[in-house]
Amino acid sequence: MEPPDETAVRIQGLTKIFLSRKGTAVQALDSVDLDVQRGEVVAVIGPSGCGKSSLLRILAGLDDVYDGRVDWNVDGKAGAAGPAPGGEAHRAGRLTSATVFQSDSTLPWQTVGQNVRLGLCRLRLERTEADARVAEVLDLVGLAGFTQAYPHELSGGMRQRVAIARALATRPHLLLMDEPLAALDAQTRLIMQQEVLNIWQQTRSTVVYVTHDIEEAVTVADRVVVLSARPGRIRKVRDVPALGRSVTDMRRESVFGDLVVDLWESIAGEVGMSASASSPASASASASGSLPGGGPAAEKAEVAR
Amino acid sequence: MTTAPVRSAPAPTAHTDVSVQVERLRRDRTRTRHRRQAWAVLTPLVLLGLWELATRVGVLDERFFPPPTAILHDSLKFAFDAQMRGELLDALGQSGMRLAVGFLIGAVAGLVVGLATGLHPVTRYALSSVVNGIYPLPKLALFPLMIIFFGVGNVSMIALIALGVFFIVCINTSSGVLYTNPVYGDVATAFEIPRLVRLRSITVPAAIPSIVDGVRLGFGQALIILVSTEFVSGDGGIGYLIWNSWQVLDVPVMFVGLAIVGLTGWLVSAAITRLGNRLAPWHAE
Ligand SMILES: Nc1ncnc2c1ncn2[C@@H]1O[C@H](COP(=O)(O)OP(=O)(O)OP(=O)(O)O)[C@@H](O)[C@H]1O
Ligand SMILES: [Mg+2]
Repeated sequence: MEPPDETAVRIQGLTKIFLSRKGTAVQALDSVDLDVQRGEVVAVIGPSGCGKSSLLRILAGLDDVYDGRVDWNVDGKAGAAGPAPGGEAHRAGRLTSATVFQSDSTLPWQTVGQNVRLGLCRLRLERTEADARVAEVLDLVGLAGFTQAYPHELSGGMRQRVAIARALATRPHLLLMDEPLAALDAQTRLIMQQEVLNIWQQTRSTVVYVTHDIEEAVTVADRVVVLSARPGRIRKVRDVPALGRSVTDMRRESVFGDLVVDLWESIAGEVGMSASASSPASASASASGSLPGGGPAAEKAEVAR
Repeated sequence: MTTAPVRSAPAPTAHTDVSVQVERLRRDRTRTRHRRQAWAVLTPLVLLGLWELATRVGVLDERFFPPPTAILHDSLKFAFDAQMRGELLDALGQSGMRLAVGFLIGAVAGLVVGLATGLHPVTRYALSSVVNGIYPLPKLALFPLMIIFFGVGNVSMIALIALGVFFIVCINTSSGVLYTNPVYGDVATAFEIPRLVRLRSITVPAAIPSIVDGVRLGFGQALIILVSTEFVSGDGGIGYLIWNSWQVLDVPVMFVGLAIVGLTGWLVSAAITRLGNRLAPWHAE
C-alpha cells in the first residue's frame, strides 16, 4: 500500500527487540505507530532508555532488524527498505536524509572543514558550491574560525556543533537529530534553536528531533510525541500551535508554558515520579529547575495560571 | 541567516595579555621533550659505562665480554681494512635485501588480507581459524617447509620473513577495522558516503593506529626471522656474520653484528612510530 503523498515517513506497529550479549531480550520499542508529514518537525521526548535513539536509527536506515513496517516517502528514498540511492534528490543538491548522532560523531583524523565536507561528498557539488556551504554552516554554528582545527582541539559542545553543521550542509529532505543540543550551554542552545528553525524554514526539511528538553521540543516542533518508559510506546501526541518563529517571543506566549507543563506531567509519570503529587505550579518549578534553559518559560507558565 | 533575532556574538578578543603564560607553556613542553630525550640517551650510555667498568675490574670475562671501547676499536677495522669492509658491506647488502623484500611483501599482503577480513564477515569467518592457528607457531619451525617449497637460498628466507610479518600486520589491521568506534561506520552509512571514499576517508584512517602498531611489531619479527634463518642457512648476511664470528671466537665482531641489528631495530621502530604520529596526529601522545 502506497502511503499518501504528504506522508514522509509512516511507521506502523514498530517493535524493536535487542538481544543482549548473554542472549536475554530487551524490548526497546513496542508497536509504535506514527506518521510524519512532509515538512513537519516532530519532536520525540521520553525518559532515558525508552528507545528514542533506537527509533531514530531505524529511521536513518542504520538498523533494519525490527518488526513492523516503516515506509519512507522522502525524495530520493521511497519504499520499505533502508536508504536507497536516489538520483533526483542528489541532482537538486540535497541529501535524502542526514543524521546528527547523540554521541560524538566527528572524525578525529579530519579537520572541522573536512568533516563537514565529507557529508557533502555524495552530492558531487562543484568545488566552489561545496566551499560556500561549508563556510555558511560553520558560520551558522559559530565555528567560522575553526575550519582548520581538529576535533580533539575542540570542546564536546563544539564537536557536536560540527556534527550539526555537517548534517545541515546537506540540506536533507529528512533530518534526524538525536539530542543535538544536549551538550550545549543554555544560551548557545537557544541561539542554535533559532538557527535550526530558520534553516528548516528555508529548506522545508522533514525533521524528527529527539530531545530530553521539553521546552526545546515545544520550541522547535510542530508536534511532540511522548514515549513511555521502556519499552517505548507512544504515550501522548500533542500538536504545537503556531507560535511564531522567534524562540524568545514564543516563550512569552501562555500556550507555550501550558504545553510545557502538560508534557512535563506526562513525562514525570513515566519517569516514576507521581505526577499527581506535584501541583502544576510546582511541576513547572521543577521543570525550570531541571532545565537550565527553562527560566522564562516556567515563569510564563505561572503567569498564565 | 535572514531574520534571526538572536545572533552568535563575534569571536571574543583576548582581554588580558596571556603571552607570558603561553611562553611558559611552550617552555614546559620543550623541557619535557628534552628530558625524554636525555633519559633515552643517558640510560644506554650508563649501561655501557657499567659494562666497561665491569670488564676493566675483571667482573666480566674479557674474552667473552670485551669492553665497549675495545669493540668500538675493533669496529674501526671495518672502516679501514678494505677486505673486512667489503665483507661487512656484502653481509649488510644481503641482509638488507632479504629484510626489505620480505618485510614489504608481508606488510602489503597483511594489510590487504587484514582489510578484507575486517570488512567482509564471511572472509573473516573463513580465515580466522587458519590465521589464528598458524600465527602462534614459531616461524623458524616452518623454515624446513619453506625450503621444501622454495629451495635453499634467498627465496625461502624471504618467504619466511614475509610470512612472519604478514600474520602480525594482518591481525592488527583486521582488529583495527573491527574495533573502531562504530559511530564512524554509522556516519558513512547515514551520509551515503560512496564505497571508495568510505574506505579511504573512514575505514583506513580509523584503523591506522592499530595498523602502525602491527607494522612496528612486524618489523621486529622480521629482524628475528632474518637473523635466525641466517644462523642456520650459512648463506651470508649479518646473522651469519654473528654466528661465524662466535664460532671462531672473534667476539668483538660478533658484538658489532649485534649492535647493527639492535640499532636497526631501534631506529626503524622509532621511524615507524614517528610515521604513525604523522598519520594519526589525534592519536599521538
Ligand atoms: N545495541 C544494544 N544492545 C542491547 N540493548 C540495547 C542496545 N541499544 C539499546 N539497547 C537498549 O534499548 C533501550 C533503548 O535504548 P535507546 O538508546 O534507544 O534509549 P534512548 O531513549 O535513546 O535513551 P537516552 O535518552 O538515554 O539516550 C535501552 O534500554 C538499552 O538498554
Ligand atoms: Mg538516546
